[in-house]
Amino acid sequence: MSKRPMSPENKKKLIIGTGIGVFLLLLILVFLFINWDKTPFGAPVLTIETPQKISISETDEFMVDITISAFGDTIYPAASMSIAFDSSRLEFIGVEEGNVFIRNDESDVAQKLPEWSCNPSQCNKTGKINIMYLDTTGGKNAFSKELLSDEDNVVLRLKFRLRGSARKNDVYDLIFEDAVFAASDEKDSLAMTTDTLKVRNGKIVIGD
Amino acid sequence: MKKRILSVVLAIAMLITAIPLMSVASKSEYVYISVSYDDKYTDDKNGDPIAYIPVSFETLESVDLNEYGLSEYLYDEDGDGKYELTALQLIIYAHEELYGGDWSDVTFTGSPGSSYFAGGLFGRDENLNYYLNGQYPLAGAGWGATSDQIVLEAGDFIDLAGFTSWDFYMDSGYGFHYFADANGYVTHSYTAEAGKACDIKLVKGTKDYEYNSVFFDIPDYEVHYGKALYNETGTVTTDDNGCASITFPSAGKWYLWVDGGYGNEYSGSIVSAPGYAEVTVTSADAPREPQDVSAVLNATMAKLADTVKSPAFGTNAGEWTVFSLARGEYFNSNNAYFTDYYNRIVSTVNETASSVNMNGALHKNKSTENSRLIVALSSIGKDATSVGNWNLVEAYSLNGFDWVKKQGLNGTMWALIALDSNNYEISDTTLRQKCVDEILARQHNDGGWALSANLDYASDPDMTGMALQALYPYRNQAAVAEACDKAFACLSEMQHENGTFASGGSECSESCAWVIVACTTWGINPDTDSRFVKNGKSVVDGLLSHYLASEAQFQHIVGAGANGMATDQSCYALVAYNRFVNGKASLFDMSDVSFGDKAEVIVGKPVATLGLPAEITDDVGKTFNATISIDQWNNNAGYKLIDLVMNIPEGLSVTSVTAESRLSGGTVNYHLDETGKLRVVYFDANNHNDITVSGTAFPAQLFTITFRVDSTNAGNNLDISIGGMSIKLNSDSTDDGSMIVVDTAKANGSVSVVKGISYSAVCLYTGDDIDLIPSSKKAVAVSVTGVESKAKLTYNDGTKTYEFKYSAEISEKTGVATYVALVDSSVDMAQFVNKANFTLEGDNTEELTFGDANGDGVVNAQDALSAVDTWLRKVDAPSDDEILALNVNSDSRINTFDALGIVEAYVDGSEYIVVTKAATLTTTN
Repeated sequence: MSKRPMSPENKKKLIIGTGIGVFLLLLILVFLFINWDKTPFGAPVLTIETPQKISISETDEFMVDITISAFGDTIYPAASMSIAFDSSRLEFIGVEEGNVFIRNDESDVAQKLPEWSCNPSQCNKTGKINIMYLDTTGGKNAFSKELLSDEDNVVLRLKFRLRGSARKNDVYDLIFEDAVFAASDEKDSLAMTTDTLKVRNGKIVIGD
Repeated sequence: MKKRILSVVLAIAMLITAIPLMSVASKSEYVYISVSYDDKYTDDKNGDPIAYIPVSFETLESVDLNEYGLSEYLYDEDGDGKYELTALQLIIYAHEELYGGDWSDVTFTGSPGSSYFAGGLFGRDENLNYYLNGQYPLAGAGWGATSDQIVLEAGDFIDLAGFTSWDFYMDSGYGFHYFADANGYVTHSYTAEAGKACDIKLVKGTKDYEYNSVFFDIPDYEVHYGKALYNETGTVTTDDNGCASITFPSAGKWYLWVDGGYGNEYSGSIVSAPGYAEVTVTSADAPREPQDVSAVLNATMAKLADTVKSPAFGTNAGEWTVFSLARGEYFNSNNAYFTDYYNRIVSTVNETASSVNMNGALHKNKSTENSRLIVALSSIGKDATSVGNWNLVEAYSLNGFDWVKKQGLNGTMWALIALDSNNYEISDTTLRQKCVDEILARQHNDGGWALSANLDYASDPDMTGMALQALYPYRNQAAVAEACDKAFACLSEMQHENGTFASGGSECSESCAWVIVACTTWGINPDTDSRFVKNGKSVVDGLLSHYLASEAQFQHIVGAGANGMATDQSCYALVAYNRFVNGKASLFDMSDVSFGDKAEVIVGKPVATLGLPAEITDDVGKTFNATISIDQWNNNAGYKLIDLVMNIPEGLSVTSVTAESRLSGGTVNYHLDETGKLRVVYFDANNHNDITVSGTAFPAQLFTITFRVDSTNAGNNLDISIGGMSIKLNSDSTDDGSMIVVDTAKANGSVSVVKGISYSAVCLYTGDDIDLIPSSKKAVAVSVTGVESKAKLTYNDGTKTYEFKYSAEISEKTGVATYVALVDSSVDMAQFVNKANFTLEGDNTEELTFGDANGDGVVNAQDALSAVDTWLRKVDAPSDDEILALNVNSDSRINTFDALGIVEAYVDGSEYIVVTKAATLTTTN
């Protein structure tokens, strides 16, 4: 018994259906395999992770985490970030350690936490949190992707408290003005200025 | 017989009253004597003319008339039981000590009030005459005075003239020649500018028939001048008014003289005495730009560090090398070079002090062993009160002043230098003053110091420099201030035409070194101050003339080869100079050194500096900025208020005074009064907050003052200074500790007013071939007045062309458009103030941002890393623009200091040193 030839109309439906199917399959694959910690273009993301709504009556200090999604294949002996904030409503207390390590090639202990340079007094004065890490050993104490974990990679933590001038229902932005994880070969650096580092700014929301 | 009669006549003549017509313009605590015979001054025992020789009162007091059998001539004019110092003592001193004669050769006769020299004085007969202050000496109304009753006061001068002719007094041309100032007063000193006419006037002091003193202008008379008396360079002739103009070809000390003249009636005889004056000629050149010695300094320090690998206790064991390298900031204080040295010292001190067994003394007789070590340890931040088991400082108290001065002046001077290096406290609170008094008592009559106890001996520049260094912290004592003024004048006199100084007759580097150290401590630029520039050569030039570039070492004497001690002393002198031009604490002032727990305590007086543009235009409404910086701050001290008073010239108003970003805790208030005093106060009137300064880099800028030009003319100089500045902790004025007075001695400057476009330039640094900046290149900042937009600035002198980049940081700081470029170091800086070498075009030139190595417009970790990687040689040699951007600390190298400078600027908001330097150093065209 011979097959009855497919009508041109059905043939067209089949092609469209197959196309849709393949597209959906590809879409599923994208959803399955994409690293959501990276942008669709592959640039690592530096994120300001703010806490849930802060009560206006909160007098204790609170933390804001700065996380990194990924590093490239090189090492980064220096890093800096400049974050604008409203210093008339928020008091920046200082920087606390995160969980992203640096290499420690001069010691038996393979890794250690970086010591960030920061001057809270200056930050509160200018409304800009400037933080820098500089490895002067030629890369022995650099950031490296091998030292990232599978969990949240907290580069550092910013400690704040609300000033008396804070108002309920206000929203205080924390905005990256600049950020870089610097490699010796600048084309390998992750930098806002070259779009090789994406940033996600944060908001501190004040509740009742 | 005729001679005897004449002498009597002359003696009687002096008793006759006369009305003084002239007076002396100024006085000092010296008296002066001149001795002449016929037309020339008489030579002293060394062959030098006895012309206006200063003699101190102290010296005169040593001439005891009793010892000369002249008790009857002791003169108590006011009846107070004390004998006065008289011209007789001065003449005896001159005869014996200057001329080298013996008083027993002199026939001195007559009686008190009517005495005369009857022969033998200065090897001549009694045919002589003497004047006091250009006049017949008077004992009282109607009565003249002979030498035994001429009471001397400070500043008096005696001219004693002998003549061959016994008829001299009868000639109408008889008298004493003098030079006179613009007001007609007798003077022995003029000032002039090299290359410019200096007006002088010649007069003759004589008497009329009634023995009144009279002065005449001396026309048509030859006036000689030269670099030494009777060593003639040229001659001029006076006009009808006795005036003449002389143009001195070079800076330095010059001398004028006229010979005694022949008579009118007795035309074959000399009847008048010679005349004499000194002329201080300053350089006519444009103000010198302080030269950059960092290349020589760095090379010398590198050589020392390489040569003295394991410094230890001892003058020749490297203690001075430690001191130089520490104060020169060649190594950080925690560098193993210093920590290893300290460990060796602890061991040595424990052994030596135990062995000497004198309460921490390191030598039985030499207190300088302690002093040297205290200075070296302080320079690396080690407290000398606790070294091993011993307190090296308390040894001064426990062993007493006798031990301190056992070595003579060296002991006393170095004890003070050591004690004050870190403001060390000792139990004997009188010891410091004893040292001061001892040094003052040992000042020589020429104003300086020397090892010799004979105060008439010529001073030594090394010892004078050390004394000035030791006395600096005590400069508020009137006697110290006066002594040191004389000492600097003495040093200036000692300088040779090639800029050098000599000790023991030989021009040597160590003498130059100590003059530089003293000058920098006292806020005097030894490279530009006219007192220490002779014939265009400064003492810094003098020191550098001893440098052997091939060996990176210094010679004791030029041609003698490298010498360890010369290199040590020259090195720390260059450190002193380099610190001075960079506005840092002086060489022996360790207030900037971190002493562990004492690190944040201000142990020395904070020093304020004032930054001004070199030039501004005369445009009404034009604004420019002054910056006020301070070299140290203690955030833990609880400072509550800063106040200062500035002196503002006419023609300027103040549009704003702003606190810089590093300063916190207060607000600014200010007022400019009608007398030109600008008063600024910074504090928190409501909450009384502590005033703090963020960051660790110093000097830190505190305020910016914006001036507006209201009325002034091109060619004017606007002198601006901080008259006083203090930091207060509380309001209790009776509490000595409530206020810190800031040293404002260096906080002054002058802004030249020019018309239209004008150029001024400073050299920011020169490479030293050590860390990436070749010695063939130097960085230059050029300020351009009269330019509002960012025009493109191009330099072309016919052989070299450079595109300058606009520096917004420096321009905003000074209020004057400023550009920077890296240029060939062989190009003379004078070329960069020559308008003909520049073109300006357009209004949007390229900018250079210090710290921005990759030129992306953002200074961040990438740039700091670039400085590190460049120094590590992980990347290619930097381009000229990268050098300019990266060398933010303005030394001769790119290294990790620059990386840290970028970090500090990013985190603390600190200003780059290169910007501070550009705004502070000024030259004019």
